[in-house]
Amino acid sequence: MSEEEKIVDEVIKNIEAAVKESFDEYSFIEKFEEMLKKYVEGKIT
Amino acid sequence: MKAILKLDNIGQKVGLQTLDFNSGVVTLIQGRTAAGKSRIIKSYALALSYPIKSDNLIDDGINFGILKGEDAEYLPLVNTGQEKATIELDYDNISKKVELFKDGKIKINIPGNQKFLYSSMLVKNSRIHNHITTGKASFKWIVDEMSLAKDYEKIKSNVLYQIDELNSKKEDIKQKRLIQKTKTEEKTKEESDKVIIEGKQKEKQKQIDDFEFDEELVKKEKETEKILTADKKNLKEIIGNLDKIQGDIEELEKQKDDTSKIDKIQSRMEKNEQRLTDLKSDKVEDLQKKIIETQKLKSMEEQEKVRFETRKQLWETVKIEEDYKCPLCESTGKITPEHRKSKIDEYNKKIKEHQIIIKEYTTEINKKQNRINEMAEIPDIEEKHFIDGDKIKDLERAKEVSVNKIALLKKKVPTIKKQIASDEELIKKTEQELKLILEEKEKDSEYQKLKEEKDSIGEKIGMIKERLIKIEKETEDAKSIEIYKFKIADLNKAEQIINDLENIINKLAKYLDNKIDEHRKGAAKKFNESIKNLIRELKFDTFKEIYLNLDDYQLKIIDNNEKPQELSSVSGGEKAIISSLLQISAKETYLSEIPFLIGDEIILDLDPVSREIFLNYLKKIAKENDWFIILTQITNNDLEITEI
Repeated sequence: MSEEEKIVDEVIKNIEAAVKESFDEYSFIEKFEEMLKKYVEGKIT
Repeated sequence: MKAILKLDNIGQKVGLQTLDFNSGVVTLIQGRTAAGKSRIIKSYALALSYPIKSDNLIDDGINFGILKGEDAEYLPLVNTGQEKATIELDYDNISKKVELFKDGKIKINIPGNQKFLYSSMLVKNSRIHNHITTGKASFKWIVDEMSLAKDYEKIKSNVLYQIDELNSKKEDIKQKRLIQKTKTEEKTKEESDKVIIEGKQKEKQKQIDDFEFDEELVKKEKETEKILTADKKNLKEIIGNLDKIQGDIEELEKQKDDTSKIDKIQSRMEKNEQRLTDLKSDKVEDLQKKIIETQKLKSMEEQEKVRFETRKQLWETVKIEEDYKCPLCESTGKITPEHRKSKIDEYNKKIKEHQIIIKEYTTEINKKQNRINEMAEIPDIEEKHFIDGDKIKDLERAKEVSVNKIALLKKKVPTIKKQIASDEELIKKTEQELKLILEEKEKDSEYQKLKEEKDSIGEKIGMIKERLIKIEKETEDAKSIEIYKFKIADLNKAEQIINDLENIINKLAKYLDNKIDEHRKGAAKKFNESIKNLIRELKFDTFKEIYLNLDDYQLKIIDNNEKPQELSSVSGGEKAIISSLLQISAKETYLSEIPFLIGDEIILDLDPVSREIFLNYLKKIAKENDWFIILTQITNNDLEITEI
């Protein structure tokens, strides 16, 4: 599984969890940005 | 099952009102306008739907009169004369309590479900009813509200927001590349200007250096400079000399104050002097005489001792109890053992006494001999004593010399200091003279002009340097970009990362689109199934089919002739039937777990045939599901609650 696929997979898990446990916009954005940040960090280090 | 509704200060009624409702039946609340019907159904609506978070539903809540609108002064359900009202609803072991405050604040102990507002309210100003009566055929909102599609939509908009952010980063990269290009050009131009202006500056400096001042002035300047250099050199030497003298004084002071050597020698001399006095108190001849005399005495004592030893031997050999002859006096007699022992003891004592005396004489002789030996050292001690005396004299002489030298050097110091002060004064004067000469030179207008021109060129160079620093900084800033708080120093790499991220986000958006579609379609299919069953159950001959189109979620109406009909073209009575059908279907499809269906005269106002069909159906589902179905109707009488 490529790095991109991994991140897509993890975000989908987060989305499904967010939908299940009454969706909280702010915590979702935070988590999502964190994932993208991790991805960028992985690319530059 | 029973539902007990307690209303306190709700609507126009002040104080507590308790109402009982039974499940499994349809309850009819009748009464004239303002009799209190609507406050009952509004209380149910609030207790079973609050808290309401969706923006659309907040508007519905305001329209329905259970939430406070932004412009409204008070919360509508609270009695106008009261600050607070309460709704309590007990059913199926659930005890709900809602506290309502005049300012719009609402507190609830057990949260309700906001979907109740449009799924379980069979009323004229419900969202479904408004849609139908105003001819709006799009029911996408209901499938969104009733499914998770809305949640997925929100997530999608958050995800897509990141695309906007990344696009703005892409724009930044473009801008930064442009800045890099522009700044490189600017830098080249500034650097070229700098080289030209620096050349001019050098030229100007040369003109300044080569400037021909007044000859006399230049000559005077050179002479003064020469004098000044010589004076400064001289002063340096004098100061060096003074430093040396002061160092020497310090060293001599140290030497002068060091008396430890003298003290040591003096102490040794004192000891030697005492010894000499002691040794000289005797004479060698006297001591030798005394030795001879003592030796004579010692010899006599030794003879005596031998004599007693001989006698002792005789007594030791004599036979006991026999006649004996004295070995000395030759007298005869009898000798007893006691007599012999006493004689031997007597001679032993005598021998011992002589031995002690002999030892004393020997010691005496040795002592005298040692003394004579020691007296032989007298010349050596005397010589050492003499040498030490000389040494002390030398040291004291050296100390005196140091004192004299110090005095001599100290005498020189004031003179040298005076000379230094005088030289310094002289140098100061010469420097002043030189300053005046230079000032005189500076006054030359031509020279002044050259210097001003040079300063102006210097300022220009300074400005160019400042601009170059700024350009350098801007170029440096334009070389990197921040993505999610990470500084990326390579714009190409940053662009690649952004493209990758866009790719990820687009994949997610596609996934979300699928999910949204899946949930909408799922909700719509469920809804359609329910409507279809209801039409079949009610045996309506007006419509063949009513359903939501799965492509655009438009409401489709097919009449008994299998002809599609536009919603706008159906009659008011038909619209009321469609609205009731959809409302009951929505309740059965989406919120059957809450056992309440609240309605106003929407069904009671239908044509008698339809009214009968619907009422029978409501009675049937009330019984089958053990639901509370509560309808209101306007009459000319007081409030009356009956089960039908």
